Amino acid sequence: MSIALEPEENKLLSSKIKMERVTEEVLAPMGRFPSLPWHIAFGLAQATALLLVLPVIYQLFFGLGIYGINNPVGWGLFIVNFVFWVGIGHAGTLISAILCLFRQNWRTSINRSAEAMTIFAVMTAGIFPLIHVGRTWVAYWLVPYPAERALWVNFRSPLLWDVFAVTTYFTISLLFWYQGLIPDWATARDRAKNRFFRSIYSVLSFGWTGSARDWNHYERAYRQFAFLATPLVLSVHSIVSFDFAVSLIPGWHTTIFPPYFVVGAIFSGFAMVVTLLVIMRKLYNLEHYITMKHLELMNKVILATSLIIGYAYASEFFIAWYSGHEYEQFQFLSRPFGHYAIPFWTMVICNLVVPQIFWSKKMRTCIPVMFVVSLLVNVGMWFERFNIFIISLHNDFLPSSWGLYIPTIWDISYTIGSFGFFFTLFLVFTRVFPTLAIAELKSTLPAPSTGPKIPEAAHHAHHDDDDGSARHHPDSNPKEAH
Amino acid sequence: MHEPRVSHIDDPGPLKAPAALQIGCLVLAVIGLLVFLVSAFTGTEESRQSAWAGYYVSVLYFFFLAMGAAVFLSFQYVTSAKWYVVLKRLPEAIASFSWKGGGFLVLLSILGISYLYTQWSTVNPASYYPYENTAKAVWLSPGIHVIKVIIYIVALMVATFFLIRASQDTNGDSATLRLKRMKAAIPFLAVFAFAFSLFAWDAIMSVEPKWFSTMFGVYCFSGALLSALALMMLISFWLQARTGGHVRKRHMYDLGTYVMAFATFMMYIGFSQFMLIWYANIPDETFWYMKRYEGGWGLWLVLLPVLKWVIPFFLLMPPPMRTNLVAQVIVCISILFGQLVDIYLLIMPAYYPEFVVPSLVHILTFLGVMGLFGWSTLSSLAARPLLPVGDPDLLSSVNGDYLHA
Repeated sequence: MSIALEPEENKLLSSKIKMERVTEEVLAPMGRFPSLPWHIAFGLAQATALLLVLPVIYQLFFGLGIYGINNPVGWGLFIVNFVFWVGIGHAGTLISAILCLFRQNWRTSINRSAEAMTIFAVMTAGIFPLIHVGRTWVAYWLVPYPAERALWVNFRSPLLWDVFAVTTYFTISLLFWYQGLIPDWATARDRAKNRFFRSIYSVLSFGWTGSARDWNHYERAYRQFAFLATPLVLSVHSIVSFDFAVSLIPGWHTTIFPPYFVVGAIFSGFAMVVTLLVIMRKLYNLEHYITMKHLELMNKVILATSLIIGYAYASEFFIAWYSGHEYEQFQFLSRPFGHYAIPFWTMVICNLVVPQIFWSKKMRTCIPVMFVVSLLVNVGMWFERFNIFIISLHNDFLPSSWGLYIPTIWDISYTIGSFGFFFTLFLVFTRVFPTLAIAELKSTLPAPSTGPKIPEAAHHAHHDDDDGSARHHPDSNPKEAH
Repeated sequence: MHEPRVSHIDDPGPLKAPAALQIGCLVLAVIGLLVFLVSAFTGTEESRQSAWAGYYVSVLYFFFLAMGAAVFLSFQYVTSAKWYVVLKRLPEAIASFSWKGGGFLVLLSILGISYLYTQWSTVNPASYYPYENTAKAVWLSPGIHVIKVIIYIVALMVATFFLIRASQDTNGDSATLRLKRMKAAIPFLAVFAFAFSLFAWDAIMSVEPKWFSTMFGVYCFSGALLSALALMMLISFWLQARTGGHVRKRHMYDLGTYVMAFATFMMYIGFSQFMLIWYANIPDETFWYMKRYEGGWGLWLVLLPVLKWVIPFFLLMPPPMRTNLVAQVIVCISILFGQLVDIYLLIMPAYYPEFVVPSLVHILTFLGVMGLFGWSTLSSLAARPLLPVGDPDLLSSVNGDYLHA
């Protein structure tokens, strides 16, 4: 019931956190020269990102022929990677928007980095359609605008809806994230050691003064953004799934696709958050802030979403059989027993079998175990997309048009390179941004008491009135309750 | 506005409903079911067909309510939630219908196989199927169907029974009870996911055996959950008045948000299913929606999203409306009526290409099942205190401590 009565391992924030040291500890990495581990990690990420740049340059001269895409399988690893990275982004928006509306206080330590991950993942995802169109320099034709070409985009195509969905998602996520950063930029400004940094941070903080008026506007806007961002969690991956589900291809045209894609995205997104936070809390000594409780709760979400996608796989197989359509049935037989059986079974093991280890509390609170599981989950989710997109295309209705898809070295290069690109951005983020939402974090800490120790009950009665977490509730906001 | 903290909650006692009400419910049930049985087993083929169809709609409607309430409870247990504790007698009472009559009424529909599954139960499947001699013809055959339905329904009844038993158990402290309930809720959800989906596909979707949709199980689930939430909200106003203000504005607000969220979920699921079929335009799938669009059915099909999403969503959008009695009652009625229209549209157009106005037999059957449902709910509410006074989380729920934990 009360925070103080819970045993230490169940606490959201360690009791070792001192209110007065929060700002200092969170802002510390911004003020000092990066450590050696950071330099090594950054160097590795940059080197890997080069693997993304090389094929793109090569392609500019030699065209799409350097990749493995062919006539039946026109989409290849581009779209596998695109959907994979868009999916990764979902956990960030879920944590920042939906958990905010649900008053889940455990989001406060992880929302900043999860949202940053969303933005970087969507940026990474956006690269792939741009490469895939081949003539990247005319990629702006995707945008509908009246031009002398008199050629409009096809508004009936889900591919265009995707352009709108992903750009909206990126814009809203970026604004929402940035808005949360404003008070923290101001904190950094006020503590800046020299004029140079002070002027940068004061521009970034939009002249935030921290007055009651500022906070009032801030809170309202934050909630409105949360409301705007909530449907995006569902809509983006639903529309990505429409790219496939509106078609006639067996294995693609199935009505469960939209929710199934959304849940899969949340599944992989949470796994990526766990991967990143396990490293980040170690590198920056944030173990008191990002506690075992946070990681455990995220692992529970991974377990739950794993079960839901298991349900979706099962219903796809059942209905493929039930429908009596030979093409559907063939498709669902060729997944486990066809040319691409290894990707299929990798997916099943990584997505359905491995996360079941989290039923054990011991396992889901064990750092090495959750790190390995989170990596395997993302391997599984990458192969899930591979299964859906490649297997369905390579064997369609006419056996005369069947063909195998074998990625070339360049396909593999940009796939690995995309991770380098993503981690480069994330490492820069951990260096130059406040990685935790300081203001929100403080609102979930018990109020500091300098006087004599207040008895527990009285302390909590008082706590009700000024606890920041209650502010989203009608009881505590007379304007909204009436 | 702050409501006062309480440190002790008096036992409000069980529901003291007049005996006449419970007896009235039972009388209604007996009359309704007698009318149904007479018209289902005597008279012309057409009138028997009509009686069975109406019966199936009514039974599914109330069985879905019970299952929806059970799912709501199990969600709370799986997530160790506390806010709902003050309301929990309502879902318990509603869910108890699944073994106090509801499940048996669904099992009774086995006797009507030849009227409910006209396309595969009596005639040679080859004349209807494009897929004769497939395993599907065996899967959808009367003998197998009876076994399947018995397995699904009994599994659901047993799982709900153990869930509710764990829910009403108050022996132990907070942690033990949480574990006990978790141990009932997780198997419940596992059983529910499979048994309910398979029931939806095999016993509801198969009234049109050619049609198939992977979403159909989820569609039925979201309808069940939404309608159960609406019914809970309707009764919670009465509970609020009856229990001396322990059901706070905050609970009504949260329940309103819940209804709004799941109305949107329902809309999302329904739209995804419709849009993908409409866009792909494969005749094997579109015929199902065409049957529900032509012949006078179309008005109801179009009304469905209005009743189940537009009205609840926009009426509850301003926060004050979420605790407003009039708004909530409109929303609940809209959703509960919408759910009836929904199930009517799932079943009826399979037998009637032209719109049919519910007959007197249909209405009496519906009232009969409603009587049994009312009796089961009332008797469950009368059996134990209206507020779960032994529950260690009750004070937390009333005072809203969970907001700060």
